[in-house]
Amino acid sequence: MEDLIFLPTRNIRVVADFNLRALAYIIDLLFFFFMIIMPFSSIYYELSGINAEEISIEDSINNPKIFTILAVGYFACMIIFAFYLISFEYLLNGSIGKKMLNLSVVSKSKELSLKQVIVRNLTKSVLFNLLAFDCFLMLFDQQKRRVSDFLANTLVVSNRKIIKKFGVVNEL
Amino acid sequence: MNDMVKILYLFGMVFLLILVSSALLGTIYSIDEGNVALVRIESEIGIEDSLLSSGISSDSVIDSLAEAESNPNVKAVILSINSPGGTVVASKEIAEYVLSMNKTVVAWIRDMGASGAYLIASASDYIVSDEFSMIGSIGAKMSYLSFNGTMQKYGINYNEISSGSLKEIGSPYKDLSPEEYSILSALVNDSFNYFLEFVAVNRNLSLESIDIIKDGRILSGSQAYNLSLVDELGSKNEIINYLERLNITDVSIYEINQAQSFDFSSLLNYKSSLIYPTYD
Repeated sequence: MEDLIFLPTRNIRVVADFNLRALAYIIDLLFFFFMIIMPFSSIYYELSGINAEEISIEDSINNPKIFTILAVGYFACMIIFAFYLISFEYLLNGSIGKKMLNLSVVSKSKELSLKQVIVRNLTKSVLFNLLAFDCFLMLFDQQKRRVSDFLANTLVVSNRKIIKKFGVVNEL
Repeated sequence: MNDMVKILYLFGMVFLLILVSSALLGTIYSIDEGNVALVRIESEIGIEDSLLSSGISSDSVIDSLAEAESNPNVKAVILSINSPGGTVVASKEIAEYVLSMNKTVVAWIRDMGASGAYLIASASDYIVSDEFSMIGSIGAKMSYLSFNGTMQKYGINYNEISSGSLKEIGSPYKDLSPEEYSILSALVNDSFNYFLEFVAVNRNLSLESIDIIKDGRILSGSQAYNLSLVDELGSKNEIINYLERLNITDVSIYEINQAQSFDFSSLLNYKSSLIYPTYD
């Protein structure tokens, strides 16, 4: 039987890099697609009486009723996605994507408030169209903050464990 | 509460929100049930809606037809027609739109489908009317009131200063000259010839076979049926039977509500001094 060696570690937080954050967001988008859009649209379109597979882009533009139904569905999904991001970040400091990659949202001042979480998640959900603009700042900021991170005074950190510098002891 | 409990709790909240919002919004924002759309043309046809007139505009009819055309649930459209006709251009706009539609269009002539209203009906794939419906009146006309005699009686002179001798053609304050009469007649005849050819082509009739109706007479539904101006005598049931023959089963009719826009500028519309050909 092999012996296990336990090394003393300590938790540190470092600024999360762009790639990790992008990956976490992609995981959240997958969650959004499979766990929000699919169940929502299957119920919503069934009750609305439209067959989404048969609708062309032309139909959705020309027919005001279809356009309204699609627009309402889109905004409803976005609001649910916003609820998901905000509630997870507020209560658990991170969405599913962030949790899986050991990332957390922290406040740069006091404890993370609901207002801060709402501000930093608007462009990731309801104001989705502004996301590219929002992320532009990350290319230049050392702390890899989005514009909305600046506005909310928040930061995304990566939680890591490192071995204590002088704590490596052979205790066999 | 540890993190796992919080995650389960939040998942539950998200799914509850999905269920409630999709069910609620799906009930509120539902497309009209039905596979056959009903569009009404049941008054005089004009270019625009006006508060002072009870007419229907070509724009609102075309909008309704476009809505039916773009609704994937709609397999056919019924045009419920009860109209004496209207202006040439408005009737032509609707008729040409009906021709361009990819869905089956059935014209259902109720009390009256005359003149411009019949032009529209003739563009549809199938016409059903009652035996006592009033149909036809194929022709164009132009009319205006002339006050010249009254003005002369009271010693009122009409002084015309215009850039051309035909600039004030159709003015109610003077009689038509022979030249003006021939110009306006030519306009009316152009509209009439278009009408006649349109009906002949779309009803697959020869011009000779409809020679009898060139005088603009009105016909009963039975007479129109005998002249092949109508495909079937009957009512809604006959339309449903026809649609079923086209494999449109479980016919469920829903009415498209036409927009009745209110425009204050329409109150100022004034066209009494302007004459133009009409199909009515």
